[in-house]
Amino acid sequence: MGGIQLTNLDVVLIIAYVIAIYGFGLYFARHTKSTTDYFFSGRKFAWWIIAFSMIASIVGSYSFIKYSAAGFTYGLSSSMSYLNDWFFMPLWMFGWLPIMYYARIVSVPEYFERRFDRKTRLMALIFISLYLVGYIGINFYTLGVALNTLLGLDTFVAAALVSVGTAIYVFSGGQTAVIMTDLLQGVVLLAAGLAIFILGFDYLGGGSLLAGIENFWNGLPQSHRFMLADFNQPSKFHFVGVFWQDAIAGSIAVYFFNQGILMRFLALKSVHEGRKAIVASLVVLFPLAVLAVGNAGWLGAAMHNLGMIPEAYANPNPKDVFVVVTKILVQPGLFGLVMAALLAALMSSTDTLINATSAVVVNDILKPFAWPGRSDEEYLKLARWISVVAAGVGLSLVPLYMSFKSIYLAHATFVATITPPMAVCVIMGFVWKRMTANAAFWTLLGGGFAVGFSIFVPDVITPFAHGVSDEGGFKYMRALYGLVVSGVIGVVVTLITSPKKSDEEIKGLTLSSLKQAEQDFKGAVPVNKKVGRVVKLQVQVVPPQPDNGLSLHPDDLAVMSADVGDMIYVADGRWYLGGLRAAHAVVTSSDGEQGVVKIPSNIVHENNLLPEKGVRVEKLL
Amino acid sequence: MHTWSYIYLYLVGGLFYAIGSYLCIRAEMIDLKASQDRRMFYATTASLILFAVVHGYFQLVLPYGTGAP
Repeated sequence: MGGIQLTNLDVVLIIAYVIAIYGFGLYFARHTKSTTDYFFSGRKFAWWIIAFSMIASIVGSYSFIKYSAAGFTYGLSSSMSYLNDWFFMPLWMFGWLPIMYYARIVSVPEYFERRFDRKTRLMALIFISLYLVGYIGINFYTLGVALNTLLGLDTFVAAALVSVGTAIYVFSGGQTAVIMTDLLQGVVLLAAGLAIFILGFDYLGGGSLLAGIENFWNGLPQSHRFMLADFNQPSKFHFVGVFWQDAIAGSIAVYFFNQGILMRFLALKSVHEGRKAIVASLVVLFPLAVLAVGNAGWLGAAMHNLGMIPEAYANPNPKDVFVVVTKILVQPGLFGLVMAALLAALMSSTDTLINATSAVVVNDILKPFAWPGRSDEEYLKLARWISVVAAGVGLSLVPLYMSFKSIYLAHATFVATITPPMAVCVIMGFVWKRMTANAAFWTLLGGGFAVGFSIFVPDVITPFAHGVSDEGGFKYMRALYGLVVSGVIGVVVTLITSPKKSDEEIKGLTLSSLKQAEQDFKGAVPVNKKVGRVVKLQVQVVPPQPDNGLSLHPDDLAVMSADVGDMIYVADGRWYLGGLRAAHAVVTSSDGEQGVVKIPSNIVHENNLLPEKGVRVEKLL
Repeated sequence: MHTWSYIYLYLVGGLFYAIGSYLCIRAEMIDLKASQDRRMFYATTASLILFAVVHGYFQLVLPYGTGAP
């Protein structure tokens, strides 16, 4: 399949897009003054920024190719992976997110040390590091393959160009640059994907959208019209396997121990904002994303069935269907937007992984082991350079993936191997206070070994297979086997060993002690759960105060349902900045003028507040 | 078997959802006396039910009809 000839307009659009993204990322670099800023953006963003940027991070460059191929082959059921993340949400929203947020934990390995012990942390660190670096390489590799297929560019050169650019803005701006660029990239990739869908209807309807929708539906083979695949066949793609591998193990992996996604949610202004972000993603953004990345395959299937694929592209290979449909539908000029969307999908996934790798190296290797006791400035400088090294290591894997497909497969196998034991360990660890450090360690090691063993002896999965044929080596059903075996190890070892840590030492790290963590996060004053309103106030800058607190008028506090001692959130008066200029603070007095908040100058400067723009203030706890 | 896929998804998945909700309510991390927690939990659950209904329409009704969605 030859590449597509770019017009001048396409080239201009792509170059303009790349410059805009890099400029956008570099612009926000000035907001990064500490490692907390670099990794967590100062914990201040609004839910809608995080929701959009998370979608961009989850949609990878391979998504358009992979889901179009699945959509062409299996129909609407290719959407299953994007629409089945609901079932662990109560535990995540009301359990795991508050634990990580209130205990100020910055990584899953750190959680494992505080909850269990150091050797469990090291085991998790090894798993997560290999997972992250391998995935950076895979993202570069898949983008290179996509650009090679679409444009005929050399795979490595394409990957190198994008990796250098991505590394530059992550180096400079850290998490703030990642979030703000991903917000823009999320919009672009959704817009481009949905534009292809609309153009497809237009093509199928001969210029009429409504007729196009009718023809699209009638053109889809009946077997392609189901949102969920057949229960247990074919062995390559069936419902029950995708359920256990993706809806259960995969969802736990993404939301509970994917370091990049975790950091994204820790950048929010509050736990409540995190809950809003995830519900908005599940209800609106994921369905939009699945339409964006999968529609080319569905359109291709309908066109193929209706005989509307031009002779030159007849009987396309599923892996080429995205290119074929794009060639048929997209006019010169608009193609630049599609390429921008592919770049957006790549950069937004990779920048997240690079920043996450840097966080793991600094917080889990340098600070506790290799280089402890240094200043935050030194760690920040290192964090920036580690981002560059992570991008370089990821890029260096591209030739390996190109030469040895087995390495690519080995990484996929490795991820499948570590996911079930990690999932069991995380969930059991925070839900079951009794779980011991030995149980956690042996769940990781024994569960990983058991899953690895099943790759060589797939017959052990048969009892869990739900009637799925073993033709594909139980690729999907391995997850259920791994979850059960890891769960049994976790329970048995817990019951025969004793916890090393007292209840006091793990306070705030398990579900049953979480209420105390919320209180500890706030400080001495009891948590205020009354619901108030956001107030818009003018700012009076005052000299730094010994208590570093804010002063508001009693009437303004009453509107916010806040009291002296409560934790509040102060953000730039322009809501559309989404918390870019914002701070957490404590109300220490109520002697201000009505409509005015007194803010110490150090808080104004450290958080980039602009007093002349006013502030929006709300009570958090 | 397509119907069974739908039932399995929301039966087994719903079981995980219900157990997770119960554990959080028991630990008072979903505080049903606090309006913010209560609204968020009910909104999430209602969204899941709405999602399941729409999903059901696309899975159990639409594929067997002749008209477009």
